[in-house]
Amino acid sequence: MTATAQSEPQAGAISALMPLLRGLVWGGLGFALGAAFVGVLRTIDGRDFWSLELSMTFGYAIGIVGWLFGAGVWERWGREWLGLSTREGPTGWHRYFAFTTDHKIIGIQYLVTFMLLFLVAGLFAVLIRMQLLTPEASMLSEDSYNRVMSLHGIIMIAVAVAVVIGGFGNYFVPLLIGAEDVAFPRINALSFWMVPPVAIMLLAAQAVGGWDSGWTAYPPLSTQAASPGHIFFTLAIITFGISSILGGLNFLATIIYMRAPGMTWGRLPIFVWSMFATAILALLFTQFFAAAMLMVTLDRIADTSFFVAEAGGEPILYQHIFWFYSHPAVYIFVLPGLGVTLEILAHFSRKPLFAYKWAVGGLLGIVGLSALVWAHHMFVSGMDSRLIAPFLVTTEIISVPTGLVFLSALGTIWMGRLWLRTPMLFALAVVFNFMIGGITGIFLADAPTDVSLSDTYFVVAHFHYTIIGGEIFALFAAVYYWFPKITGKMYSERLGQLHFWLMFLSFNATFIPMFWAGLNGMNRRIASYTPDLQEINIVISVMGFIMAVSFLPFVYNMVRSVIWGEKAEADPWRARTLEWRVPSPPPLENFPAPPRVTGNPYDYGVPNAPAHGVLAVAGASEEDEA
Amino acid sequence: MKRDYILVSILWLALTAIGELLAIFVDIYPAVSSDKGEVIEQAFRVLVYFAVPVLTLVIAVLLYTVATRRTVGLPEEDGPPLHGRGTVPLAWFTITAALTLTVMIYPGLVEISEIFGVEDNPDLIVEVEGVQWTWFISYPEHGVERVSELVLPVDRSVRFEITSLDVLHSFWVPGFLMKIDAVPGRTTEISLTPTRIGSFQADPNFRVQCAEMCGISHARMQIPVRVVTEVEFEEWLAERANAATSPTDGEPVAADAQQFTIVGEKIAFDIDEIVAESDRQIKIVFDNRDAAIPHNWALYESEEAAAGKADLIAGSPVEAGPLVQEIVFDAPAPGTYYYICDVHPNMNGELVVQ
Repeated sequence: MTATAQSEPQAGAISALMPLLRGLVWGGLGFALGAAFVGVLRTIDGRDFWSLELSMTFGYAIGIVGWLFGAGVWERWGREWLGLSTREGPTGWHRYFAFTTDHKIIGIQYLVTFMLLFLVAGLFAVLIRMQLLTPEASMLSEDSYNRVMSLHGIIMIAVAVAVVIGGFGNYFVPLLIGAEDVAFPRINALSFWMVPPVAIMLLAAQAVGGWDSGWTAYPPLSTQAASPGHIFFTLAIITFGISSILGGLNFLATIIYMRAPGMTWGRLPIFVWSMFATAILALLFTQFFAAAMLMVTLDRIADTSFFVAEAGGEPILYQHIFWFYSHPAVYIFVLPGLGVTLEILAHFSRKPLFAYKWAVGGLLGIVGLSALVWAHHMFVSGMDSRLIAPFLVTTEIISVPTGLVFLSALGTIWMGRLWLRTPMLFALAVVFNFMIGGITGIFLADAPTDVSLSDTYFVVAHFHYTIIGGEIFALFAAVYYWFPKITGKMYSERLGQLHFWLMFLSFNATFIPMFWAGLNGMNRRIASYTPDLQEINIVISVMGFIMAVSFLPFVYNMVRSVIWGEKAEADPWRARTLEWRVPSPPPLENFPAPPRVTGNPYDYGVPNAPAHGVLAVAGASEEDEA
Repeated sequence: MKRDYILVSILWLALTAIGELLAIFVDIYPAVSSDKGEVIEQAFRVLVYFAVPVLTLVIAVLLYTVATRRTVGLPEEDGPPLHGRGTVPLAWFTITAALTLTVMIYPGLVEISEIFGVEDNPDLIVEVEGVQWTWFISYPEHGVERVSELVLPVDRSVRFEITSLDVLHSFWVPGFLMKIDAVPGRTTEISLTPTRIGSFQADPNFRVQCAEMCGISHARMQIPVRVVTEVEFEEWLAERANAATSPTDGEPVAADAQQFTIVGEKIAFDIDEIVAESDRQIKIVFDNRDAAIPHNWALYESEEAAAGKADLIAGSPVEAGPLVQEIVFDAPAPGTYYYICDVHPNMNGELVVQ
């Protein structure tokens, strides 16, 4: 008996990792196939069998397919295409390591993966700030610093794209609209399983020399630099882009077609609206990111000359293509954050969401305008100067719909009953932080001032304020808000408050001085700087270290509360939206039957307001209830 | 409720007053040393004036609401059902749109042509070539080519014609507040007039700093800037034009010249001390073995002089390897002197003359 008991947990762990192992094996085989294919063609042509970048590209393209099929696409999806029956997936906690179609599990897979990546990239930030304690490049070599900086950048970008929509969007959009799952559950799983290769490629790039061109990878540096790490980067981005596009498709289809009866567009929770807006951007613009990377790849491996000036190419073209996606991308980062924030502000102020329709208009206005502003990243690029005025105009205009979101936030809390629990503290902080981020954006939108500020630490401070201040703070608000629903346990409020105050104060103390550094001649992406800037950099670094420390109580809180936390009730916040009507954690099918939506989600304080939604009894049909 | 509106308005006005006072009196940039820089600084200040009331509005509402409306524990009752369907959002929209339009026009659109416009008839034309990881400055009207410092006369308009020899760089002089990318395959242009005399030694913002990630030594892709009087500028130009490659170009090498060979490889000199006798010529054979990497060998009075690129005794032009350069000069008076690669200051050593 003892022998059996001892062997079970080990067998459990190994069998949990089977999908990953099979994915790696099939991925390796696919890689070999792809590399062999191009190698044979080259040998016939009289050239070397193996050429790192070329072989890597073809090998990776097939390897990715192998990985996906091995990790579960074959067992649970592909078999169907050949008329075979699909195989059952694992049960229990093994599902978290497998190709699982339950949106709640995929949500947690995204959340855990990207929060880990966030902490890893945060460690790189600590390295950066350690380096910048002194003016000389004393700790890291210049090359190492540039690679660490580039890695910090791209991992954080990936986190910013995926963590809220992939984590909380996946988990809660179906619950919030009264649906059983998303429109395409298998595509949902596919989107997630494309992520591990992205992480592997970015880290593996370091073994072949990394890349130093930041996350923006401008050619000719990215096309000319010797390190093959640049290819690993472009291939990783293309993969991630496909994942993002599929996710956008899924959310749009889900929100358009799977709302419960009575859930009109006017009764949609604002978080779902923000997911809708984000999904439009992800679906329509990510292609340009992939295109730009593909063109860099081709310039490197296929002697094309998209960006090679001597051969008639144009380096500035890359920037147009890249930023055509990457500006809407920043709204992919921020719209989910603003959606979460408005959601929490309403529930924790016990008031209707102020100017709901205007807030929705603001979100959609941002989506529309975001397509028209990209070249404000290029005011000093040497592009035709006639382009400067139109992009200044469109960029400034986008502050109007953004302002509508602030109208809603301020009007919602005004005269409310503010329950200052940790989610609410983070949500309020978003309003403050994003305001600073947004206002400093005006100085960059104004082309004359941008000439002096572009590529300095002023820009670095601006985007950290908008992304951390607008999205990451909202991420933590969402984590604390929905923790009881996901885990069935309550987190420690004391630790939550400790995390909040440490993080909020140190975050502001870290990034405010950066504006000053930029104004005083410190540019971006530098491993060393002029000695007069040392004092301000010491302040920034020390505050940054404190900010890093602020995540410790958070991690401890999460682990401790999952294991020993007090059992949480189904509706600890007394909130009106549908996810609080089901048990914590929700059952597999979410609702026993599609709920009926009978009122608005935010009608707090409205006399005789009907409930937002009522659960039908399992087995009852709509005819019965009439 | 009316009391709340009054109190929060008072808070807002008070915060705005403090903010605007700070905006008027606080220095934004350190010294501004060009005409366009002054326009930019003024534009920045105007934007701050507009930004302050917006910032303080949000802060006032946040502070006031948190201070007066927070509950202990779950709220016992809901707040008032303010939906925001009527005039408030419309007013907000109109006011923010008007503010945006204003700021867009001034200090936005009206100043674009001033900042980005290029002078057709400048007093001086300077050609700039960015290359990993230094800048070559040329004065085509005066026959000075590819020097490693930017010297300009004060109060004279300059047009910079900028290009790159390899990857994207960005030509930025922080003290001038002006910047534009250096793009291979095209020439980008900016113009400005320096308004202040200064040098890198006194003000680190007097430097040409590359502001677009361009590889390993991007952070150190800097050359010093000096703004001098017109007379000093003419003198410097003449000296440079005559000096051609080295201060003693064309001088015959004496039979008893002391020859030293220095190798530059992997961004390092192979020897860091040379001992020579005074009263004889010195011939330095500098073997740059770093392919495609620009180096030179330059001898200065001291380390401080080298940092400010002042008091040059002898030196070779900055050129990319592999190549061999010869620098011939009379040994200076006995003492200790400092040699350096002008592009990579970590490559340095001492010349001891006995």
